[in-house]
Amino acid sequence: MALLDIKNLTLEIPHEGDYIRALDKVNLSVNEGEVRALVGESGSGKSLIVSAVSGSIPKHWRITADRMTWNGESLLNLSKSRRLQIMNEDIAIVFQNPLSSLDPSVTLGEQIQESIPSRLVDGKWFWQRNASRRQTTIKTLHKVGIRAHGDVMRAYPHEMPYDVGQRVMLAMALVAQPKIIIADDPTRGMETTTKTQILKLLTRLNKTRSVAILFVSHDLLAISSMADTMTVLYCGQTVESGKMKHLRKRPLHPYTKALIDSAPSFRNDLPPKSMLPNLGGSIPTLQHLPIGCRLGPRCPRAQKACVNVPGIRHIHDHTYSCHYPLHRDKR
Amino acid sequence: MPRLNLYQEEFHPSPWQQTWLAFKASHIALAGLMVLASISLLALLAPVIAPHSPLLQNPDVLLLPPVWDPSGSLTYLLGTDALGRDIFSRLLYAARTTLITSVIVVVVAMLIGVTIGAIAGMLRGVSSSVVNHLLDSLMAIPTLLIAIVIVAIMGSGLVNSMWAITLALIPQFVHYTRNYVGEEMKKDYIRASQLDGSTKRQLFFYSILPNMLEMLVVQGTLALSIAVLDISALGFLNLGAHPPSVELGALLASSIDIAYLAPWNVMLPGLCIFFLVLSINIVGDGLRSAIRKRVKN
Amino acid sequence: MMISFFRYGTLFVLTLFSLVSLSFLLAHLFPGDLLTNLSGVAPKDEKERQLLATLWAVDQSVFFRFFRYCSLIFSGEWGVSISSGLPLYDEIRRTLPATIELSFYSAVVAVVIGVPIGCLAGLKSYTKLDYTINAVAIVNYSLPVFWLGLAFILVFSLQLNWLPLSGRISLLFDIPTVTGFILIDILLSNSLNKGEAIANAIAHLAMPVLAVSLISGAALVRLLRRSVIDILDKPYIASARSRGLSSSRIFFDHVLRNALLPILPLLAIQITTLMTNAIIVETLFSWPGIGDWLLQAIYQGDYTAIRMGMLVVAALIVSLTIFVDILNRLVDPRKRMPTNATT
Repeated sequence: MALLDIKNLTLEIPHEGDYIRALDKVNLSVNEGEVRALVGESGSGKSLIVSAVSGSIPKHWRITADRMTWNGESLLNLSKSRRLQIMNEDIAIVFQNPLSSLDPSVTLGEQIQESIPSRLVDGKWFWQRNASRRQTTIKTLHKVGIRAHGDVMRAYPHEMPYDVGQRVMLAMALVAQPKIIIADDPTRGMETTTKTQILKLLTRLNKTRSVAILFVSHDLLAISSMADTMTVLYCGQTVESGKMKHLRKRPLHPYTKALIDSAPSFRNDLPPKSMLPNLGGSIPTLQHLPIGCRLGPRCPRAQKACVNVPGIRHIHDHTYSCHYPLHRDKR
Repeated sequence: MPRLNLYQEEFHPSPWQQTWLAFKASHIALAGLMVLASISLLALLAPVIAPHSPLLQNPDVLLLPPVWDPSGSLTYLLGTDALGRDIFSRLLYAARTTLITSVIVVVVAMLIGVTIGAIAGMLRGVSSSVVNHLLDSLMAIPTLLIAIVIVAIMGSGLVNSMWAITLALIPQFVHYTRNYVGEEMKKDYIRASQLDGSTKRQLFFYSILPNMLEMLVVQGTLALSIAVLDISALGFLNLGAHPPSVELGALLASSIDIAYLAPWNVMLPGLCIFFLVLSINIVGDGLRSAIRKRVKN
Repeated sequence: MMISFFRYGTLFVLTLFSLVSLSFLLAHLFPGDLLTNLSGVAPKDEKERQLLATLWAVDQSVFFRFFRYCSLIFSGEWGVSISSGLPLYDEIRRTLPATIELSFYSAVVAVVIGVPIGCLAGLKSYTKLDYTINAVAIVNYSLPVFWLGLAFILVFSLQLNWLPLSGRISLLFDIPTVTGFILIDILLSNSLNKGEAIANAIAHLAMPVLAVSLISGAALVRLLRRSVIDILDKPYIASARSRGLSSSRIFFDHVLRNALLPILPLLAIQITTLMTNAIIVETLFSWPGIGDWLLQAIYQGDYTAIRMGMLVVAALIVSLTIFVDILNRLVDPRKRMPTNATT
């Protein structure tokens, strides 16, 4: 049963009287215990999807969707209290820059403690509850790999290094014992060693506690090691989605192929000193969106039909939307 | 002649134009600007518009009420004061004095303050040395005290009160300029210019100053509203303009005794000050919002 | 921590020192005889002149004179007022508490009204309520304080006859001056009808305090509103919301603290404006404070009074601003020295 099910999500931003479709009929679904990667270049709208799920879209933007449900409950017209409850207990979001996502005037320990939902705190009197909160915080800090919990809990966000901040964000996400963690590019700008540690942590969480993870990133290397399924997003449109190993071995959409080709370690047959293949051009800005399939101007296989948005087709559970997908060549 | 612009996206307004566009979008800010412009125009053209001389005393029409009162008359639009002088003309001349002196005060304070602040900021960067803190805490001395001191030394009068307020406004400009320049000096585009071989003077005038102008305009409007309030306050306390020159605060003070008999004598100058300061504040607010909107986009 | 205290201590001493030097300079700059300006007494004969000259070290070098000046100031020997002949120390001791009382109450009222309304406007920004509050605030902020006070007098005293026109308390009440703060003095005295006295004192306080606090309160409303709007946009508020914290929790624990912290330095400037307005209001309402006293001194050319009065008021305000600075340092966690940070 899908935990998070998004179908045909469209997000329109008003700009000089007209609406710009930042997200155009996006489809995404995460099942229980699944690690799904949401891949796309910067500017493809990945963070917008996260904001849409958490409900922090400005009021004058327009959201429409055929279906956007959490565990069967529609997220679109949720009452404020129910949304707060869901965000508090079931969904946890880890943001990009830990320093700016933490309140600079409150200690880290306090911030973690206040994220613990009341139902997980035992004790009747407030001193018992405080002690229980503290216990949970210390345990969770150990789980994310912070041994010196005393120092960290007493410190303020700007006094701690980057990766400690990110682990604290993860700890904050964990204390609520969520069913899904949405990680919005948590390892951006980190050195490889720290990156692997964080990723290992996430994988361990997924395996031991069967917490679903939606990992939003553009770092294919990191994702390919841990993701079960992947959704590729280009400029606000989902171009391909399916099991990780299928996408790696046999990508159906030209963009996916370009992405995979651009990471050298995916290919074992590269001759030395050869040019790395990539797609020319860059992602279009919001003011100059192409009509139809948005990859059109850059795609090497584009033809006249690409002026219309391609429909979604699927082979088993591997969906793609392209008029001229790659497997047609093999025929 | 409207330019045929086929490609909407080709219009890239410069930052100043963007600020102006955002400013125009707020009706209140525009209204404030209109009011300010009209008051300034009226005040500046006082010698031309005023129906009577502000000093002419007419003993036949003492304490005449304004024209909307049944006993008022059209020749004396806003009534007369205890010595028979036409209030409307006096108001015009007084507004002129107040406005011009405030503008001069702000401009002088800005020039001196920015120079000192720029030198301080460029030579040492933002250092939290004791001297800087000293200057900042001396900045806390109220305008009135400085004015009292200057008046005591040099006697009362319009020019002396102007000096007092200029002295009081300079520390603010120094503080903001120093901070701004200090912050900009840390930025990379300044370093790029330095590596290109520009002297400090070139750095300031070509790199930092254009960016600083916006901040200066905002600070200037703030300072202008403070200057108007302070000059009229000093006039009210009889530390400022002497007769025969008229000034709005002094006008108010001279009519306090007859405030109950002839309230328009005190209400009208005060109203004038109020509208002047209000329009300056609204324009300043509008400018700040416009700049903020531009920076956000 | 110790280092900051040391720095602020040095700063305080240095500032006081510069203020004292300035007032020393003023004694020389004021028109008139130097000795009269320093001591306040126009010597009648040669013997008196000699006495005073030795006391104030007039005939000796500038540095010695300055040193003597400082020691006299700090020992409380401030000279006498040229116009009234009374010792300055007593005069200032009499009038300063009245001003402090007026300013203090105005500040309290301004904060109590301004901070909640400002926060409310910030939270409900860009709604009708916010526009109304902003409009009222900007109108209040642009009012000249003397005009507002005058309007109050015309309406509340002369038209409606609700509130008294001048002074601190009706002459019918005889309250001995103990501290100089009238409300405390009433409570400390053995007067029979304390309640009436307090009501009367409050009636006298009402208009001046209202005039000053309306303007400073409006400034606070605008400051706080802008600060709250800026904070609400920040990513950590969005992150707190995404963690499902309740709105009141977010407001009191996160928004309020972060909104108040950056404007603490600006509050220091507000203190200056508040005191200036208080001094102006004193003349309107014949409030026997130091501002009124100073202005009388100017009209009468009482240079000693001006010099000492300015020194005392400036020292007071500067101490307040340094105090606010220290408070800012202590309370704001962002200003703490980074201990283990790596970048």
